Amino acid sequence: MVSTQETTNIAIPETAHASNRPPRVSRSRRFGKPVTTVKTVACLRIPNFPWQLEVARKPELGDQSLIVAGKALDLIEDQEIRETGSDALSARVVIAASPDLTDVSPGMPLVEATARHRGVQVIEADIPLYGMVFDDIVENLERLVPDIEVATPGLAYVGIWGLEGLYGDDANIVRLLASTVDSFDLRIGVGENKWLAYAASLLSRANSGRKVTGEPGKFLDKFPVDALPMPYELVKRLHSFGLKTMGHIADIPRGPMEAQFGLNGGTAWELANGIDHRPLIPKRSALGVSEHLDFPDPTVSMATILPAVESLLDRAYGRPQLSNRFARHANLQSQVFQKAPWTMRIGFKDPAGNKNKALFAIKSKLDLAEIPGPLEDMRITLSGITGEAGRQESMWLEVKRDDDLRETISQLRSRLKIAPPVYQVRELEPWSRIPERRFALVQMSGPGG
Amino acid sequence: MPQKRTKEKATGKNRNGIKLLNAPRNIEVRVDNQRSPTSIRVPSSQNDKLLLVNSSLLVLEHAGSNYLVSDGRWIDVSSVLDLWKINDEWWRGPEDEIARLYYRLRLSNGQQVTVYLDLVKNKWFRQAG
Repeated sequence: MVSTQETTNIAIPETAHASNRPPRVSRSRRFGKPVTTVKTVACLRIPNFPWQLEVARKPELGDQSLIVAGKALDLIEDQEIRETGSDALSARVVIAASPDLTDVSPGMPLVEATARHRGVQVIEADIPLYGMVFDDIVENLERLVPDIEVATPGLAYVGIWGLEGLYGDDANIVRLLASTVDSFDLRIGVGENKWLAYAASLLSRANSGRKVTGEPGKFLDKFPVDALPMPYELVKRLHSFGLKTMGHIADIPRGPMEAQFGLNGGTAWELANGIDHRPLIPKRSALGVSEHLDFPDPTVSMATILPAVESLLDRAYGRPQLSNRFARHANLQSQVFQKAPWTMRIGFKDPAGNKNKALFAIKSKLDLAEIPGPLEDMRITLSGITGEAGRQESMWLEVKRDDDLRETISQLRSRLKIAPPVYQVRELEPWSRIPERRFALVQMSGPGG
Repeated sequence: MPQKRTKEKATGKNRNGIKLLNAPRNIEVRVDNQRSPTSIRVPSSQNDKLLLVNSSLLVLEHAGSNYLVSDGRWIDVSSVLDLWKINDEWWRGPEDEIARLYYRLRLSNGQQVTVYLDLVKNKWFRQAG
């Protein structure tokens, strides 16, 4: 199956062959491990997906230099954000940018991007929307292939091994996958692992695919380090050390890379050598019921929001998917007038089997929630759908009773908005001759928290 | 801070949500010339102030307690069932020592109550528990 050239419009870049470097081989081959069945992975990438979506939503943005900014999606970046404070400008990063901003890449701190392009329009990322639209795309793909991992909105990996009997060769599969996505500029890459498939997708043309075959070292040699799925700071540091391409990294032994850049250095070295051990983790399909409405005017008033929630719940519980079934979670999503979209997740204490139960829990949480601005619309998604509302009994009834009491107090607190006046009698100095010193009432929930 | 402590002591509750159980409540007590209680009255409202003090009538600060409902009327003491004295924490000095003269009383309405005279402050309290 492994040839050194492309399938239909699947090709290896010329630059890969231009190198004089001896071909690097993957570690499994280098150490003579038995070669197991290759599990081919396809990477479906919609470049600048958030930007494409924003332009589709507001076509007038298509002519402007635009940065879609938000909190970093990457876990490592998230950690940094927590440390620096989530509201700080420096904590915000570029999620996507219009194609004319060639020196702005996803993950770049917003401060840096706006410093390079003064006056550029910055809009807040609508992550829930991106997720929802991409979920629809993935839902279509799932009708063709079972194993799909959603890495981030706009990027998915598809396990395409074992499908030859069904769909023919890889080229046919790529064609099929491409046909499921219309109205977006889709790039598909095929490789022996996720990284190679991703790298191949970076070289593919619009709505076509490219396959990496042969030695990955040759293919990756001239690849810029900016393509690495690594934190932006690491990529910057690689540049500062003069490591501009994968070839530069691959020339260095792994040890010094790890010594200088830590664990990420080791990972970068592996990727530069075409090694990627990350398994494909297929998306679990979770049944959810979603309903949506638009407010006539943006509103912050609970008198408007609550009836809207009630109406949405009414519709959701009227759907056949929720007939005689229970939901464990509710997710509220709203567009906020001139602000970032707002989401709130509510986990029901017990699965909610009807509108009223769900509404009670949502109302309790909404009462305490801080709504960031006037809501333009509302989408409610009920998930964790289960057929049973069973409650597991505990062997340790006293512990269970305490838990139940604590739970009830929490519930009371959210309803009353004060610490509920529930006290427990505690011994202080039971031996004391002064009666009032013998026992005390201790507020079970604490006065403030 | 001392003011706050005093307030906490008076209400029997502090900001940590701890409330003393059986905290003493102020009441008004009439005594005879032997200084033995003859009738008691629970202040009718939290806004009651000190009324008057003379040799036979001790009017005490209100504490807002309504556990013993007297509707603002004086209730006669039928008999003194018991009498005892507590002296404690004398090492803390004359201001802070505890010196109480307890009475277990049967009232004319049949109710039994325990009251004490704080010998340091010269004030009457009802003691529950």
